[in-house]
Amino acid sequence: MIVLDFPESYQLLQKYHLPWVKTASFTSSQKASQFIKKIGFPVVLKVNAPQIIHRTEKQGVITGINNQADFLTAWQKLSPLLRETREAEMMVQKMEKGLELAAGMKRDSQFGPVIMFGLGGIFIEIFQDVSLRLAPFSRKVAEEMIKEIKAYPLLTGFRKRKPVDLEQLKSLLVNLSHLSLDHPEIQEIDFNPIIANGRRINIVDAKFLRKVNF
Amino acid sequence: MRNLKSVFNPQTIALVGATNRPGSVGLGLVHNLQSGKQKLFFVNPYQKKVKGIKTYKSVLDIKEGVDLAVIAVPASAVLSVVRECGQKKVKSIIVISSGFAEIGPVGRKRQEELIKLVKEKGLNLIGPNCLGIIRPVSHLNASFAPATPPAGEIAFVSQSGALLDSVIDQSLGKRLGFSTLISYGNEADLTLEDYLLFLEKDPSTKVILLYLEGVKNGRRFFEISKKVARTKPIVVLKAGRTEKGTKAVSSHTASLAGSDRVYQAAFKQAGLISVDTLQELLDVAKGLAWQPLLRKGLGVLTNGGGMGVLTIDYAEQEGLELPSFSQATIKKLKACLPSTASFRNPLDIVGDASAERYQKSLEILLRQKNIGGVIIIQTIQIVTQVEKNAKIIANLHQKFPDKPIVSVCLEGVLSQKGVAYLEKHRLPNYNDPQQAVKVMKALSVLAKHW
Repeated sequence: MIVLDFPESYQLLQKYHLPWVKTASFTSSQKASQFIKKIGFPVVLKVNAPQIIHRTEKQGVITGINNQADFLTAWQKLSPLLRETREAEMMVQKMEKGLELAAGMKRDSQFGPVIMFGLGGIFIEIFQDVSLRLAPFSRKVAEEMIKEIKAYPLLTGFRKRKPVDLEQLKSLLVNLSHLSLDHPEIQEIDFNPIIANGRRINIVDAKFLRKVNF
Repeated sequence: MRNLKSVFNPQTIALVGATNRPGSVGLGLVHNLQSGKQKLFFVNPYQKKVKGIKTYKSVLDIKEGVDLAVIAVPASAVLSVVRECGQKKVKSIIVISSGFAEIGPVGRKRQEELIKLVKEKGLNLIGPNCLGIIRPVSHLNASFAPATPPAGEIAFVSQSGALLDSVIDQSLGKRLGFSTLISYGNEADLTLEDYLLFLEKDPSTKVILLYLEGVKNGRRFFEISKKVARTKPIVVLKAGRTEKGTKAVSSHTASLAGSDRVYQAAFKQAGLISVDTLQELLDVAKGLAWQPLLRKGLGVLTNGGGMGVLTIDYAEQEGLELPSFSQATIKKLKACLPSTASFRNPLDIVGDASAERYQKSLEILLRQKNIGGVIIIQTIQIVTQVEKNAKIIANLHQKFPDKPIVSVCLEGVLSQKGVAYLEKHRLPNYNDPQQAVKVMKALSVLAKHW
C-alpha cells in the first residue's frame, strides 16, 4: 500500500470538490513566503514526504506560526528532516481554528466502500463516536450520518460556537462516497482533522492509501 | 427473479432417503411430508416399503413428473442422486445432507461439483446442509423440523436450522403463525437474496424475519434487502457481534463474518430493523404482523403507577415521542376519572380502575390527534376485569384502526382468558413493558422509513 503524494491527493480533492485548506508545497523558503503573503498568517508548516505517515510522531509539524520571523525559524528547524528524506517538500497551510471533525473510507470485504464520519483529532480513537454508511449515498443519508453521532449537539452551535454549515458537510460526505466508488484502487481515505468553523469547513489533513499494483 | 413455484408450492414430491429407521432424519422427513397435501414418492434402493408404501429404487423409476426432490442421503451419494434428478427433469431439489463447504476442503470441492451439476441441469437447489423449508400456508413441510407451526403472515429465513426448530416448538398452540420458514444452509445455488425476492412478492407474507451470521455477498444483500424493505418490513437478528462470537460463526457456517459495525450500518441504511435477541425478533414480528404503524406520538395508559413509569422510561430511551395531553383531553378525563388519577402521559387511572374507566380513558386518548397509538397496561388487581377490558380494547381498535394498540399484562392464571381474547383479535400482548416499547419503536421507525 502506498500513500498518495501531495499533487495526486490534491487532484482527487479538487476533482470531487472536497474543500481543502489553502495549501501549497515548496522547496524554497522564499517562494513559501510569497505564498504566505497571499493567504496571511497564522500558518502551519509540515514536512511532506511519501515515507512519513504520522507527521506528528516524527515531529514534522509546527503550528501557530504568526509572523515572518517565526516562519523562518520554523523552516530552519524542519530543514534537516527535509534534507534527510527522499522526495520531501515543505507544506505551508493556512491555520484553521474550530471544531475538529473527521471523515474517511475503508473497503469492507463484504460491503465495499464504507464511509465514516465522527469527531476528529484524538476523539475518534478514544470514544469511537462515529457513524458508518455504505457508499454511495444521498444527502439525506449524509444528514442521518451527521446527526447520528453523540457529539452532534457540538455541531449545532453549542455554547456560543457558530453552528457548522450542515449543507457543506453533507456535500463533503456525499462527494467522498462518490470518490470511493469511482476509484477502486484507493483502499483507504482519512480526512482528519476537518476543521469546521461556521461556514468555513476545511480538510486540513488528507491521506489516501492506494494498492501498489493496480 | 428465479421462479420458485416448484419449491414453495409443489404438486409432487420425491423423498430420496425415505426410511423407517427410528430417530433418523429420513423418517422425520417422511412424517412431515405426510402431514402435507402433495403427492409423495419415496425413494430408497435398500428398503422395499416405507410406512407401508412401496418405494422406488431411483427417481428415474417414478412415472409421473416430480416438482421437488428432497434429498437426505449421505454426502458421498448426493451427486449421483442429483444427476438422476436432472435426467428426470425434476424442477427443484432440497439437499438436506451435510458434508459440503462447511466441513473444509473436501466438502468444498463436493459443493463445487454440486453447483456445476445443478447449473448444467437447470435445477433450483436449496441447501445443502439445511433443515429444509416449511410453507404452512401451502400445507408443505419439507424439513425434519419437530412439527409444523401454525399458518400466518410471518416468514422466517434462517441461517441456522436448529434455531427454527425452537421457534417452531414455542409457536405451537400460540397465536403467532408463519407463511414460510426457510433454512437455507450453504446457499450453494439459491441464496438468501433469492428468498427475499420471492417473499417480497408473496401475498401471504406480511413480515420477514432473518437470522444471520454472515452473508455471502454483502453488496447484493444490501441492494436487495433495501428494495424489499421498501414494501415489507424485514427484522434482522445478527449473531457474531463480538470477537469470540465471530470466531464461533466461522466454525458454524461456511460464511465469513465481517465487521459487525458495518453490518449494522448496512441494515440501518437498507431500512431493516435490527434486534438484539430472539425474543425481541418474535415480539416485533407479532406487532408488525397485527398492528398498523405508529405515525404520531405514544400514549401510555395504566392502572399501576410503577408500570407506567417503567414504560415511559423505556419509551424515552428509545426516542419515542410522548405528547402531553391537550386541554380538551384533560377536561374530558377529569369528567370521568377520580381526582387521584394522574392527568399526564403516562395516564394512571389507578388501581381500582373498572372496565368503564379503561374504556372512557382509552377512547379519550385515541381521540387526541397527536397521539398515534397507545400502550395499555393492566396490572392484575382485585377489581381488574381483564376479559371485559380485552373486549373493550378490541372494540376501540376497530373504531380507530389506524392507531396501534399494544397490551402489557403479565400473563398468569387470572389474566389468561383476557390475554387470549386480545391476541385472537390481533392485539399483541407482552409480559414486560420493555417488549411493548420495542414493538412501538419498530412501528414508528417503519412509519418514518416508508
